[in-house]
Amino acid sequence: MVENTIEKLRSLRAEALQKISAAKTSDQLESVRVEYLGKKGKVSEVLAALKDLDADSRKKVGQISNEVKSVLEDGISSTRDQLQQSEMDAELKKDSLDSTAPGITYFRGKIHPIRQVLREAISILELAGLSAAYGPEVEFEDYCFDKLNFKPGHAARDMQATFFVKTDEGAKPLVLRTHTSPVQVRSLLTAAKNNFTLPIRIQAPGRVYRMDDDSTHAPMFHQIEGLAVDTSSTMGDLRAVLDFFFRKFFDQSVKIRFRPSYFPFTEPSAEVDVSCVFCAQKGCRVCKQSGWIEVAGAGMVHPEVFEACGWDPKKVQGWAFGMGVERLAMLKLGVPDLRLFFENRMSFLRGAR
Amino acid sequence: MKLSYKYFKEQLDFDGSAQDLARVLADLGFPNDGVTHQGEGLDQVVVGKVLTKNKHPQADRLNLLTVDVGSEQLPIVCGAQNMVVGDFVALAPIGAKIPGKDGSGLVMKEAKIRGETSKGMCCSEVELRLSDESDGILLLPKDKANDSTLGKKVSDILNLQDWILDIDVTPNRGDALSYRGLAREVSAKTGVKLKSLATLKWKNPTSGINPTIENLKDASGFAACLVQGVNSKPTPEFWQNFLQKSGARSISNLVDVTNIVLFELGHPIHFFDADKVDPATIQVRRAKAGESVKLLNDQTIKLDPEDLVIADSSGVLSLAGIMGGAESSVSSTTRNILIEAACFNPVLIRATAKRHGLSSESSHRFERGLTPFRLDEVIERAIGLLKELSGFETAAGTKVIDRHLEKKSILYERAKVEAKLGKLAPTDEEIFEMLRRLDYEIQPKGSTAVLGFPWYRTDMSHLEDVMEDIARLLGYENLAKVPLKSFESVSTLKDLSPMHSLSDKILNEFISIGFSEAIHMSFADEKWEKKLGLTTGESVALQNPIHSEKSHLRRTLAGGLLERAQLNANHSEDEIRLVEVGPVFKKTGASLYDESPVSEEFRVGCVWLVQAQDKKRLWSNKADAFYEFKGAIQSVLGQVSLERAETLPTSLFHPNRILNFTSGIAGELHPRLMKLLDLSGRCFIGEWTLQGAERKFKYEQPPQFPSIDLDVSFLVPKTLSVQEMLDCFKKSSSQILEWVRPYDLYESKDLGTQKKSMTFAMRYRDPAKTLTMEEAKQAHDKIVEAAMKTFAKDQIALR
Repeated sequence: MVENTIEKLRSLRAEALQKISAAKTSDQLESVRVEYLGKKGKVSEVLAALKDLDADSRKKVGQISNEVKSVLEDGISSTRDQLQQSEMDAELKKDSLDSTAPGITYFRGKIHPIRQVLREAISILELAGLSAAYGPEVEFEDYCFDKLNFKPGHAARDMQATFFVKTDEGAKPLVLRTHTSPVQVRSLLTAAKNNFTLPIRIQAPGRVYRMDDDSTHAPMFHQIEGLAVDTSSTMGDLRAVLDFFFRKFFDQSVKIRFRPSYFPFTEPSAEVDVSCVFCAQKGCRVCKQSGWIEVAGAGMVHPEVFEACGWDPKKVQGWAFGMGVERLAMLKLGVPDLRLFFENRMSFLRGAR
Repeated sequence: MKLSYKYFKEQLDFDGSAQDLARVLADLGFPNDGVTHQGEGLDQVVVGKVLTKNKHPQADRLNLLTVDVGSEQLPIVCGAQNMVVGDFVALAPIGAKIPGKDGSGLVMKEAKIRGETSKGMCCSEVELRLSDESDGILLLPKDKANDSTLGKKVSDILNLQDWILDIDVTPNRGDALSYRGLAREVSAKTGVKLKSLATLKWKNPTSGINPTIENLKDASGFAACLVQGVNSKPTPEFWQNFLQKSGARSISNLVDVTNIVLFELGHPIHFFDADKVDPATIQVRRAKAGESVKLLNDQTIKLDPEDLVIADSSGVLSLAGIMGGAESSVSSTTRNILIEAACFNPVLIRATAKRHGLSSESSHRFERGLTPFRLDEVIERAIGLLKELSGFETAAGTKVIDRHLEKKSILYERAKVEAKLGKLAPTDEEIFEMLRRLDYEIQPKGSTAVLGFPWYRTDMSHLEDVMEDIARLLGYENLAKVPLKSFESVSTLKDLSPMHSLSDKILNEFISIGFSEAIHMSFADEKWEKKLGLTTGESVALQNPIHSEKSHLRRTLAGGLLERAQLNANHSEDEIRLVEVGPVFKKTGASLYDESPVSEEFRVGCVWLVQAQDKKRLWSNKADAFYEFKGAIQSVLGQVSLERAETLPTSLFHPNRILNFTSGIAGELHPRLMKLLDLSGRCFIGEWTLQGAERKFKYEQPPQFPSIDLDVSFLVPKTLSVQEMLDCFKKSSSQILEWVRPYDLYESKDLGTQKKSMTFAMRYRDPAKTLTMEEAKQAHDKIVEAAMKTFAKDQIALR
């Protein structure tokens, strides 16, 4: 009897396993489960007969039947997973969404390239200890030229073709500032009024105007200027600040070079070159084969400027520098033509593709 | 200034290439705009001799030549006619590369021309780029080309190799606009001595010539020298080349002498025909009212009392320092000349040149400042050159200079110099030695010295000026370098950084919703701003605008933004969305800056042009573009809190589509302006002041208890606005109403022509406990009831 029952369980197991692997759908699999493991299933029927056996035999048959049950349950469960997976795959294949159609266009705006460069330059100069200071764009001619040691009638005034502003009879002559340097004058004048506060350490970013309009000159452009005044600043500090600035702005490998030059408001004066950022000084079109690119003007504040702003030039000294933002932007962002900056075409402003 | 490398070496034995010279000059503060190599690409063109010349059997216009180049005799077919047997020519043999007519390069190949072989080409000056025009081929002068030079390089024979340096001279250095001036600088830097120039002493003083100066403030020196028995002769090729390379051209031997002196020494001089002026009464003076003068360029100008002239008792002879007069100038029949070498006030020269729209090599130098200290040297060089170029019998004259002119000097204090330049390596004596080479006069004084500024400099008065010379001569690169110092930033000017960071903040907000930043120039056309509805008369106007449409400074950003939207539309740009921050200007009113001459205010403005193609997108937003714009700018403006301001006139907008802000205004552009700008689609603009602050947001605990959402739909008359409904809900001031959102607005035939449907979603939440549905419904019903009551007269109904 026991042997018979065991034999029966074994043959049921073989039979069921075969049916499980033959099942093609979840439904077929379910009916196999009901046929063998359901309440009235074939395995259950065999087990129902156990109650007539003695304890020993019951234990023996029970152990085997549990094994059979668990083997079948595992088989059904793993087959069910496989079937459900392929059924879902088949269902998803019928999906009609065309994934090649474009997504919803999300337009991104961009900051103007001049602003990008201005922001970066301002933050680097902040790191060098120069705080941003601002002055008006319609400026007294006196602040724009005379106080900066441009002598009336001197040819140096021709260095900067100037827009004059219409004023009432007898009013102080006004100009559109030709450079950001009047902010130096304003700083020196206010500091003089405030008990000659020292040190002065500022940067002056802003819009400036010159009466030029051709492919390489715009009647309005941007400059950023630096000024330090104290009792000890030297050409050496000036070099250090500009060296720091250009290495941070372009690349740590960039070198700078000072060349003698002339600006009425500095003495000594220098032109500042950076090593060519395009060719690593091998010589290219941008640096005209020289390996250097002119990027700034600089120098020690002229004693006449101190004097004109109410300071005793024997007691203070300082340096100043200035550079063109458009030029920096062209070098850094590869903008090919100055005029693009002010044309403001969307396809330009949205940026390089 | 154009500087020929070859002629520069007449002044100083420079030991280096033209590029080396360019570098030394740049290090001294005289950079260049390029170095041009003359005679470049002529290395393969050789001297040939024409042995035979016959007509081409097939073509009358061509000649068959046999040309001897020393090593061989070449058959050449040539189209020019100007050579005869025995002439020497510039021959480009097979394989030679020459510049060609357009300078793009031409490589010689063996050719058969109408059946005759040609093994090279006889070149013209144009083909060699030696001249802009030529008549036939280049025939080499027989004093340079002969049988012993056959096959030699033409460039060597003619001495064509040269480099022209285009030197930039800063406006403070009138003295350096000359070969001598630049050579002096190079001499000081390199230690190589200047060569001396051929000069002749003049007899001085003398009678009969009596130059005078009306006012020593106008002219500080005037030397006049009478040279008798000059001759008209061709100018030697050497000097013709010198002038051509320096950017002038040879005119006549006498005029050429004046130009040679000008380029060589940098001091302009003038020659009068002495028989046409009265040397006894010659004077520098101001012009008198009513006087006029006919200039060398045949232009007759009416003189101003501010103009400085050279005159004699008979009247004005020339415009001092700028241009000679036509009547008194030298000509081919001139026998006697009066040399004028003077020094004029640069401010007067500049003003006169500007007033009459004249400019010359002479005025260019006087404007930049020259000194009267060495007028003798100028005259003596002129006479030396006259000897060479013309020959003469006698030279005598005299000069007058301002006796009160003093050469300025300054005490040398090494500590002060080092305070600005950093520690210097050379000793004082070494520094003085360098300065002496620049013609500083150095007088020992105690342990230091008094430095007399160089006689030729007009721009020196401080020790800093000397520092620059020291730094230049040592090389800026050799000055001490120090590490970066970091100080606290200090400025005593009004702090505008909060405004600028607000501007950055608001810009970034606009960028995040798809606007791109535009930067426009500050110029505006007042007429255009008037069309935008701005009152006129308040704008800041320019005296000298670059263009009539840029005659004023802008009062709004909107004007430029609209024009730019139009330009972008004309270029078929998509999704035109621009934002700008920047200043606007007004004659009077509050300004950002202290002590500001006019009113300047920062604003932010935007324009959004929705064109037909913008909506042609899959999944396009079907909502009216107005709502898209409104939502966008409200989200941006919600991030900041700006001050009260009026920015644009309401007449700019569609009267029913205006969005009022305390800080500005926005809305849809009036159709009148759409038409004016020829825009199609929908255009939205806005402009706000940038006075204000960023909004301070505080973080909060998120709600802890669940909410209940309830909706309500009303049927309302078309005239009832969403805002009126929202105001009504707000008035009910329910404690648990978290928000209300209109989410469906529609009109349809079914609703009739007078009605529309409005649906609102409402969220209720009790911050302190879990809300029950009953409580929510109670509050909801109360709100709905209040609305029904408020709008009963409008026959509002629930749907």
